[in-house]
Amino acid sequence: MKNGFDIDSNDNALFVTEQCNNNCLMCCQPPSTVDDIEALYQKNLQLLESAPEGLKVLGITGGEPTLLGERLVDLIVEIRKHLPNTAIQLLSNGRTFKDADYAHRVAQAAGEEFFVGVPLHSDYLKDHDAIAGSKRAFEETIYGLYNLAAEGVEIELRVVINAMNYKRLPQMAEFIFKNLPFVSWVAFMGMERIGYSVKNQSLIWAEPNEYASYLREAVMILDSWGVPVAVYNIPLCLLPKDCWIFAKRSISDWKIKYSKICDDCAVREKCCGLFSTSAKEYIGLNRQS
Amino acid sequence: MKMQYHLLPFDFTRIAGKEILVNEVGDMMVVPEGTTQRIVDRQMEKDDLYKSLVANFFISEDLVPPLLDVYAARLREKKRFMDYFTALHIFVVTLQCNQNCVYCQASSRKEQSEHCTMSYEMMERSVELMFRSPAPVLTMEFQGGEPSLHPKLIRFGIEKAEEKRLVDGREVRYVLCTNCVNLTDEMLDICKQYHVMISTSLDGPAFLHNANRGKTDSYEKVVAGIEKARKALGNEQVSALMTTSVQGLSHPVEIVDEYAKLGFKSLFLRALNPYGLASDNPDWEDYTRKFIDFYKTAFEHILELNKRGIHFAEEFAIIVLRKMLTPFSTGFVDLQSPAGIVNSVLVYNYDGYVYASDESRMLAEKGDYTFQLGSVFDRYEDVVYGDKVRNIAEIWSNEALAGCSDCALKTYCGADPVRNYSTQGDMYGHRPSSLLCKKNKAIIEYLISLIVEREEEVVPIFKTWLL
Amino acid sequence: MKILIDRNIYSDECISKCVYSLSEVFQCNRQLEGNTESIELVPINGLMPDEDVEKSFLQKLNDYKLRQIVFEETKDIRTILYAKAFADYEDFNIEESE
Repeated sequence: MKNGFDIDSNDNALFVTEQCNNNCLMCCQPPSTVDDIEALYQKNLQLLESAPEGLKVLGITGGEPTLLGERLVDLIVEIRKHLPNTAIQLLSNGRTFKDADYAHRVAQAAGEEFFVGVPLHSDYLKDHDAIAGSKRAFEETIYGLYNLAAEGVEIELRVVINAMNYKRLPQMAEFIFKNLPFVSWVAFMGMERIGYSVKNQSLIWAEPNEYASYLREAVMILDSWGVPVAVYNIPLCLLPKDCWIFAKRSISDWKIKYSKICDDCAVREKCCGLFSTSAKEYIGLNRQS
Repeated sequence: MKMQYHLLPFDFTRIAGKEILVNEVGDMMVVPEGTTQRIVDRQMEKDDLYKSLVANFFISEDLVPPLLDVYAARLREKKRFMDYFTALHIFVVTLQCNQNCVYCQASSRKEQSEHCTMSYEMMERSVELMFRSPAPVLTMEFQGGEPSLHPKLIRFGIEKAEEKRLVDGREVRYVLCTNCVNLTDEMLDICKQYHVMISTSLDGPAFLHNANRGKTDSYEKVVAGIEKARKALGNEQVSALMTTSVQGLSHPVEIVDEYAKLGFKSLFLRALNPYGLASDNPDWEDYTRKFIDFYKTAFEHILELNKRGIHFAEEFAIIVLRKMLTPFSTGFVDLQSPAGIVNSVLVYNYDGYVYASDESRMLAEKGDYTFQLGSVFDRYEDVVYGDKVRNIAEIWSNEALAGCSDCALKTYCGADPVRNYSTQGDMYGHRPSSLLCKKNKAIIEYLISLIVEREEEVVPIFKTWLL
Repeated sequence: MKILIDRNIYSDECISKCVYSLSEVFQCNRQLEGNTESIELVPINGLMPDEDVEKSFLQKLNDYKLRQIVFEETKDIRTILYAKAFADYEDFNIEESE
């Protein structure tokens, strides 16, 4: 929603900065170092003036929104003035929330209808840091998660599946259950083939048909422990059938596309489809009957 | 290839041809034999096993693991029961009983005998002491003899607790341990009014139950009583416990089937305690050996039922599995370190004296007051923080006991100073000859061996028990 | 039967723990000469068990040595771990003098 809200869209978000303190190998919104915080803040304030009241969900995204520091609290306060009942979905790597006071101020400002989507790349710290492109990312993210949980904030833990982590998805599932039992749900996500995931593809790219069995095992582990699970961005035809109940129509409506192969597919309407922004389609798409 | 990393505290043992590693919070890893040696000698490769050892707090790449605070939070959670302090308060309202069970540890007196019932004043004082505990949820459990012989006393006790609860604000749960033989409408009304859970005793099919009770109609009465209680209160409010008598040892399958037949969703396979009338029974070594076999046979049968689609669990296993497979804490008094005595349970006896546990009270019946902590007229602080308790506290954690501190299974087991004292003559205990250790170890190792050898078959069943 | 143990390799603590763990089955007589300890295992009920006693004793001893190494190397971090886990435990009021 570059220049305006669309109440019928499934993706309304305020873009708050292109800067980031991570440098994820598969980032689809590669960071910049330009300080755009104030400019975007003012722009977003203007946008909020025309925010439709019945908006169900409003996202806050970047880059890394918590780099705004207190400005993020200010922004959330402004959002609440216009949209007291809208659910706010903050996408963040969680690292800044290692400061418990900051987590408290953000949570206070946002109130009840607030959830944070935080990516976790591995259970093994060096792998997570390597994928996140930053030292200490793992440690700070985990502490951030604990502080958010202490504030009662709902957490969506996002696992972006890639070549460097898919073989450890089952171990990650166990790790999440043991060490992060407080997350509201876990979302396993297929990559969008854009930005860094193209630039780093020899290192990071993996196809759903390579990782489907590992994904399935991880999903079943979490589900058997009663942890809510969702699968995003992976077409149904590339998922084992018993994972279909976890698949969501996750792709922003303005960038969904279908392949020619999808023309007569029996489950097309239920399927999330593909990213129109991806450089290539997934391998192995096949129409279901 | 020698790697550089630091060790974190963990222990190991060998079960079913594998090495079992257990960390400080009870997380378990099943690894090839020889892994501990390789870990210690720094002969690891940077493979998936290595990454899992780091992720699961067995080794660390930094001197101080970056997630140390998370590990500490998990350890704190495992010992959460310590924050709550005494949650279970047992009120032995009378020794009078209308049965005469062969293994009775209450040394029950005849129904008509006097001077063995709690006075109203003692009841009131006991309730006051109960509320001095800081536990967020208090459980007031009526035991005996047969407590249902005194419904008015029980009502009085509950009403005193309710008065205090309204001011105090905490949740109080009520449990009535009864043989169900004479559940009057008066008693059931109290249970209905105050949402009292009924915990009854059922040893198995009729022939077994009656043999244990020394009466030929006990089984019929218990089953009728259970029916009556379920009708009045709902199935969820009625539970049953069994104790495995010597005769029961030969009938594991029948006992499980009896419980399943009566619609119970679980069973606690309990061994006899070496107390009270049961101590007339001589060969405890033999009993222990046979009990272990009994447990395994009964357990296999329970697994079979589950595979047939019948949801049926074993309670002792649930506690051990919860410790082993989940990050959550447990509160079972007999498998705790620091020990469950005082920390989780207190017993208010009919005579106005307070004991560290039910078994502590049994010792007093035999003239040994080692674990009598005081009377209901004493100050709360003197009862729970007095010299007696402080002395016991020195040896009530298995993390610091010979034979336990270096046992890989210690996080799944507990410390039991009272049992040590009554069977071995001292509270510290001698682990190699402890029959309690033998039994607990055998069962825990059995459960682990199932996970090692039959993971796909048993773990999904276990998870349904744990959710 | 007598087993000879090199005290440069296995500490007194290690041997003590091993011997303790067998104390229901064996009476153990220990004698130290220089750097060698000789351990005499006498079965308490008179019968030597079937298994290779020396082999299983040495395996147990090795296990205790491994545990000792882990314990020595992790003493400090374990103390820190327990301090972090429990140090802010809120004591409620005890109105008595210490």
